[in-house]
Amino acid sequence: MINDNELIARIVCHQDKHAFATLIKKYQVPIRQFLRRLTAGQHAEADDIAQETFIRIYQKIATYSGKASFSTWAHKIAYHCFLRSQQKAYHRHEQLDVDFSLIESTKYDIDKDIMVEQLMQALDIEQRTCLTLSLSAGMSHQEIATITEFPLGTVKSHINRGKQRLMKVVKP
Amino acid sequence: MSDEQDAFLTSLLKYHSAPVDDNFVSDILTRISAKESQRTKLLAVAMLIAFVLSMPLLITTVSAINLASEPFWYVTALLFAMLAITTWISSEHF
Repeated sequence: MINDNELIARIVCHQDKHAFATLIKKYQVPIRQFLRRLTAGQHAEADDIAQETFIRIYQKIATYSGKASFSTWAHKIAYHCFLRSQQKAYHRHEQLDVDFSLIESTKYDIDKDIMVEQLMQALDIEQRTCLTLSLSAGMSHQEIATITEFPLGTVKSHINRGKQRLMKVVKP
Repeated sequence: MSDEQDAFLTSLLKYHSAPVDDNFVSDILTRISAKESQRTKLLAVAMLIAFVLSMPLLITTVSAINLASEPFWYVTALLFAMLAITTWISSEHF
């Protein structure tokens, strides 16, 4: 299995589209899952932003310094593509009308994901981002601070407030 | 927040399923190829316009200066300058 640095070297030096396709296949799932949580279940919008993310990754790949992991760098680009999309379009959020206590008893994983994505509407964007990166993507607070460019204390604050708000919604 | 609540939220918020889409990768590569093709065409048109606009200047310059009588270093410097400008224009960072 070729590692990320070798794939990136092939893309930068030879514009190797096969290497880039390998990179997309490796990272498309976490990036798309992240964006689906950020867009609170708007799958079509999330996939559009995910495509835009990978195009920007291809355009900017020569600037990847290797200081952070490729996953962190890719999530950072995805987050900024999401913010740009929020500036362009008016977003109307539906009123939460789901019994979230059913999540635990839901049989199918895809239904659980859909309910959790809708649950994200209860949070503001900063809380949604920090909580998803922390509890779903398993990133450290420092990595989240790198992605969002929030101070470390602000990241922790968003995570704590997000957790408290979610507990009120899921277990009132 | 208690450890029990933390564990509950961690279990709740983890990614439960993976999005699957056979066309996702090919769609991205198609869009990148389209952008590169568009960029190449724009570059070609820009160079053509620059060449057409510079023709009168080129003719005047050639008739006014006899390059064959100029020192070798002058012609070499001129060619290097033209090569550098062309390389800069055709680079990704332009």
